[in-house]
Formats: sequence, structure tokens, C-alpha cells
Amino acid sequence: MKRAENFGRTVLKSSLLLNTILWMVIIISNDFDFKSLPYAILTLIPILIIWFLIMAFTIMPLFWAAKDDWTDVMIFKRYFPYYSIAAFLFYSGLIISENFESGFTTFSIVIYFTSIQNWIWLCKPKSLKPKTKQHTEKEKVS
Amino acid sequence: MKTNQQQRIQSTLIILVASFLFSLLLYQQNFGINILLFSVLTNVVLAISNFTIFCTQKVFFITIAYITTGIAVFFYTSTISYIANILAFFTLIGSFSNQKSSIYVNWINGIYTSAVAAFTLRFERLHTETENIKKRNINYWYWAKIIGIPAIIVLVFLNLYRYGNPKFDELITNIDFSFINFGWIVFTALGYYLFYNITHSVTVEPLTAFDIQTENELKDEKSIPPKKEKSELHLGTILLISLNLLIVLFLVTDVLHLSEIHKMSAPQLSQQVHTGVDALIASNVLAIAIILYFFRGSLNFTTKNNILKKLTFGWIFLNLIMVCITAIKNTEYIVSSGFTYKRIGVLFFLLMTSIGLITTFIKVINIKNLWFLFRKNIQVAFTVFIISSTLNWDKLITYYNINYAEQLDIDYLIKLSKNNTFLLKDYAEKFSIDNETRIQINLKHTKYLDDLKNNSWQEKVFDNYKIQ
Repeated sequence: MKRAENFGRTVLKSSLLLNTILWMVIIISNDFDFKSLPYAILTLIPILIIWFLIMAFTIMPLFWAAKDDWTDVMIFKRYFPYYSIAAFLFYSGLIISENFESGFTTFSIVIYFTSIQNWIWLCKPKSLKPKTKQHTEKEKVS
Repeated sequence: MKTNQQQRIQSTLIILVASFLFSLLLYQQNFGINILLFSVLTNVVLAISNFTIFCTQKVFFITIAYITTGIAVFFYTSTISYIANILAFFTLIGSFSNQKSSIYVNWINGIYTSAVAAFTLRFERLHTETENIKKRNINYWYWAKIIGIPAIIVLVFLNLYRYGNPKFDELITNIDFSFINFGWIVFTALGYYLFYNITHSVTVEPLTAFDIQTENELKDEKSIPPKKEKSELHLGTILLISLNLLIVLFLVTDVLHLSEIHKMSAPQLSQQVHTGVDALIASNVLAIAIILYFFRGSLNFTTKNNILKKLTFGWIFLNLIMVCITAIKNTEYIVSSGFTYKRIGVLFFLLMTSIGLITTFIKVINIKNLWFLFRKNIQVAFTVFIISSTLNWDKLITYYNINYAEQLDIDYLIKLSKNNTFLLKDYAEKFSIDNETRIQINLKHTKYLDDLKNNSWQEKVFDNYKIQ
């Protein structure tokens, strides 16, 4: 349940981040019209849905597949390297296949970094209070 | 002795300079001399960040391989040289992460470090209490002083000198900062991210630890019952005798067939080479799988394995003869129809197959495990790939086909990359060819010359200096 809670919060944070970056890029581009700024709220909805699906089908299955007694740190250490390598190769392949087209490259890089940041948000400690002895030992073993 | 803070400042400055150079070399540029310069820059940054690791023998050899691929890109910008350069880059970064790991673990660590080292380190810091406390103690005033005060003083003096010297004022006014735009800033930031990552290497665990712990030697740990061992020994002996007899029969018919090879037409020869390669693939996969099965454990250590070993060596030797016969067929095909990438690919496949069989022989004679085969074969494949990337294949193919091939497929040569342009132009000028072909060659030549003339200094290749 705790992981599901985190999942919803992370989807929301990522979507806000993506929406902000999208509008930053639009604002910086030369043909930006200030009248279109209110649409920034509307674009959040499709981004939220798409990001929810991306996370539900790529990152979350790894969390749900993990054993019940695994901590978030253990899941991060076990799966994050392979996820990040696979995502890096996938997006690099896409960028090369699109012949480094600038818009597509920016889009892919933003998606890649957001998905990586998601892992940090999902696994970061809730507070800085000392961890239990049991958890620290588990992490050492992993 | 430098304090931690001084070291951090030095490291940040180096990464900043490197990221500016990264943008200068690669932003909106095609590949050319910039790849060679980027390879040198990467090595300089890595050497400054950790000179002890940089001087180790393994890293030294990979550095040479990386620079060599950079030189190959400068001489002839081919897809093989690009791929070799990227592969050598990841190998180098991976070998910086851990010097004792196998080459394929180096690749994984190299990609992991280049792609996300900053995120991994940030996550680790979040989970270390002491680091969290340190984070709260960042001296922002110190950083404001170290960056702000010099910047203000430099600006004051800049304006002072501009006022005092009209030439200096003109020079400063003429500096064009128009290249700095959003794209350039993002690209430079990515350069900073990349150099930060490669100077703060991380490893994939527990993969790296497992790889270092796993040795190449096979240990006699699991002993099987003598009865089972005996039956396995008998099964292996009978199987290998049958397979040796079968391959001898196959080779005899194949050698007899070789005498008729000169009478064959090109399509027949092509068919022969392809079926020969197919048979070879099946035979070798089966050979290595069977050898690995029988020599997976206790049969390596029993004193009664002499006959089985001799039969295995015989089978490896006969498979090597099969490789030679396929090579002869392929060579005959090349002599009559010239080089193509596919025919060169077959030669490389045959070379790698021979190496695979030889390493299997070493595995059996020196009692090594499966990891030994993986490590050595991938290492050899990597070396062969790096060496092959230093050759100008398009030029070699064109030169051979024009001068020695019995049948010349000029359309195939025209479709190859621009690396053979000058050779084709010479050919068109010296020999009588049909008009359509001449037009195609001239078109390729003119387009290539235009491309060369339009190259910026970052995109320059060796041919740029040849046409000057």
C-alpha cells in the first residue's frame, strides 16, 4: 500500500515537471504567443495519463514483483542499474533512428531524465531519522 | 596537501572547461576531427581525475584502442569506426569503474556510469546520514565569494581597459556570442553531466562483485558416483567416435568437391559458400555444446579421460579443417566476383569460429570453465572489431575489385560510402566506361567535394587536407 501511495504522488510530481519543461521550451521558442499560456493547465491532463501508463508498465512492475521484505533501497540497488541502461539504450536508439532531429531529441532526453528521477522519488527516504537496525543489515546483505 | 574543498573546486572547473569544449566540438556538427579531439579530451579529463587508474596496464591499452578509433573516424568516417569509437568509450569508462572486471562487465559499467552516475551518487548521499548533515552545512557565502567577487573585479577591469584602449574595445565588441542559445546551453549542460558522470564512476552490483569473484579455473567440487561417471565417459566416447567418423566422411566428399569449384558459375559458388557456412554454424555450435557438456565437471579430473580428450581434440581439429574448406570456397568466390561486405563478413565469421574452437581446445586442455570461454572470446571479438575499424573497407573493396576481380559490379562500388570516391574518379578517367556510369561517378565526386568544402573545422576529415 505504501508503494501505491508513492506511485500516485510520483506520477503527479513527474507530470508537473514534464508540463513545466514543455512550457519552458514553448516559451523560449520564437513563435510563442502569451495568449496560449492558459492551455498550460489543459496539457497537464494528457501528460498525466501518458505518464501514469508509462510508469505502470515500466517501473512499477519491478516494485510489485519485489519480495515483500525488500526495502526501497534494495529494490533500487537491484533493478535501477538495469532499468537505466535499458532506458538509455532505448532512447539512444530512438534518437539515432530519428537522425538526431532536435525536437525529438529534446523530448526523448526529458522523458529519460524524468523516468530516472522517478526512481529517486519512489525510493528516497521519507525522513532523515535513523534507520532500524534490521533494515540496515538487509541493505548490507543486498 | 589539497583539502577536500580545493579538490572539489578543481574538479568542478575541469568539468566546466571540458563541457564548454564538448559543445565547441560537437554542437550541431557532423563527425570528423571533433571525434578524435573529444577522445583526447576524455582521456585528459580521466587522467586528471584519477592518474593512478589511468596508468594501469589495462586502462592504458583501452585508451590506445579508444584514441585509435578516434583517428579512424578522422581518416574515414565510416559506420564501423563510429560504432568502434562508442564501444571503446564505454569500455574505457567501465574499466575506470573497475579494473579487474571482464570486458562485457566493463561495457555495462561504462554505460551505467555515463548514463546515470550522478543520479546514483545522489541517491546514495540521500541514504547516508552523515552526507545529509554535510549537505546542510554547504557554505553558500563561500561559493558566492569564490565566483561573484572575481567576476565583478574582472568586469570592472574589462570596462576600464575598453575605455583605455580603442583596439581592445573593438576586439571585445566584435566577439560574437550569437552561438549561445537555448539549444547550446542544454547541450553544454549535457556535456557537464557526461563529464561529471565519467569522473565519478559507479558499478552495477552485485554483477561486478560476482564477475570478480568468478575465476576461470574449473574446480573439482561436485563429485558424481563412479558408476554415473563411467557411463558418461562411455557415452561421450561413443558419441565423439561417431561424430568424428561422420565429419571425416563429410570432409572427404567436400575436398573431392573442391576440385570442381573452378568450373562453377558465380550463383553456384555463392550457393556453395552459403550452404557451407550454414553447415559450419550448426557443426560448431553442436561441437562446442557437446564438449562443454562432457567437460563441465568431474570428467575433467578423472584419469580415464585420455581417449575422450583425444577424440575431442580430433573433432576440434576436423572442425578447423571444415573452416579452412569454407574459407577456400569463399576466397574462390571473391577471386571471381570481387569483395563485398557480405563476403568479408564470412571471412570474419570464419576467423571468429577458428578462435572459438581454439579457446575450446584451451578450455579442455587447461581445465577451464564456461566463464573462461565467454571472457576470452568476447575479448578477442572486441580486439578484432577495433582493429577492423581502422581499415578503410570501402577503399579496399574498390581497389581490389577494380584491379583484380574477374567480374566487376561497378554499381555496387558506386553505392558504397564516399570513402572510395577518389578511387572511382581515377577509374572513370583511366578506363573506358559507359556514359551513365561515368555520370554517376562524377556526381558522387562533385557531391563529395561540396561536402568537404562545406565542412567546418570540427567536421574536417583527412580528405579535406588531401584536396587543399
